[in-house]
Amino acid sequence: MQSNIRKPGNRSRLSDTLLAIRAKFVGSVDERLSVLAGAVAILGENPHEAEALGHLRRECHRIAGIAGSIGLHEEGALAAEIDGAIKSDPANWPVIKPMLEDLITRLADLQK
Amino acid sequence: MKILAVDDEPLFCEVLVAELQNLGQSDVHVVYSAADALKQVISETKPFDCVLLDIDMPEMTGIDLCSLLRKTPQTSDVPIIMVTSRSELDSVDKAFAAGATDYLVKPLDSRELQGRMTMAVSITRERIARKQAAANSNQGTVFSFEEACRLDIEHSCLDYLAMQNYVLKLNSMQMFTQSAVGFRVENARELFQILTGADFKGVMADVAEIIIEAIRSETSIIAYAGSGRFVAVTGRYPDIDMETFADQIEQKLVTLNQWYAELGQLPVRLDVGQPVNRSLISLESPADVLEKAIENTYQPMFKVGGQPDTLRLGRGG
Repeated sequence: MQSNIRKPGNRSRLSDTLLAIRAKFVGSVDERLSVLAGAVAILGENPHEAEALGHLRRECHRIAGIAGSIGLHEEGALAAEIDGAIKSDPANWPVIKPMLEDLITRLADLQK
Repeated sequence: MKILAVDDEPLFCEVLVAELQNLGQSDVHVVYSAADALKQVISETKPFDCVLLDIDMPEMTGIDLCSLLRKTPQTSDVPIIMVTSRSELDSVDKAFAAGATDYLVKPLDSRELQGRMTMAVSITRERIARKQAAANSNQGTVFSFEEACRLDIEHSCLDYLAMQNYVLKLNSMQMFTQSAVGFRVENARELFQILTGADFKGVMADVAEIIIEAIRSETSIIAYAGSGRFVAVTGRYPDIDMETFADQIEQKLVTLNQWYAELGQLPVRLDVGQPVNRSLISLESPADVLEKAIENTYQPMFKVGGQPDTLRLGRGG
């Protein structure tokens, strides 16, 4: 069994690690944006398209899971809100769409 | 401590590994799906001491995986901690009912994770000590009368620590408005002295099943608190009709005792305590509510068990 005592200096090393993971997340944004934009295109035509809603919710859920843990709290909270909105009322595209556009803008800004 | 982390988001797994390393836990194995988790658990020669599970994963959810892991010998008694973005009551209820030991909500808070890992280390130490004692005594599993062990029943039965974590979680969500009802097998010590440890646990599991079936609520959960005592947590609204509830337990216990009689085994006599309700503004801690429910069994509202001296004490004991 290993000791669970926090050693001095570990915190700063972890911060470096989290920064490195955050950089990887930013590197993955293009791929995530492509999933979100693909869903937006399909749902723009048919807001009830279940598969596109499923992909959208899944990606938002994943972003919600990781973003807050690497310091991107607003992006994480917004993604969680979209995930929750789709779960509670998948047909409510007029509410989901502006939140999604906001998330897409915020994620794209991370790359600047 | 050997840890298995299961999450379909690789970057979150990296965060988890980094945070665990910061807590001195470096033996962390990562998989990205429930299917890979099951394969890993079964194939490892040295079993895992702790499992961290995401809930929302494609194909099989973390809750279903948790249920399966509880039925798998290698992980039946290890701490399983859900680490999830899901913060709804429904998810919390289902996770604990599936056998989760605790529940952490993302984004990951390193202090909360530290608290959970301290708990997991403590459980692991106890488990290793029990196994060591069993090996030294050559008697198989060593089991004490006071031990608040996890009972082997199909659904809705937690170990007592998980029940405490469950009510604490509900409280942190300002959702703990349930009723807690305590039960005590009045002749538990006598049964313990006569039966083997495994048979005694089997009787306690039978009693837990009877109670949970009598409650007839999907969200009710029961835990064995050791020494023949149980506590069930159930929805407060509508109020439990204790008279009807005791009747249902009585009927089921009579049937069980008839079967025990055929086996030449002592009947079970069960005391049912007055329910403890807790409001959202209560100053009482959730853990105290559980303790109080158990204490109430010593001045029972009902005594059941199909015995000639079966009593209906009525409200107030």
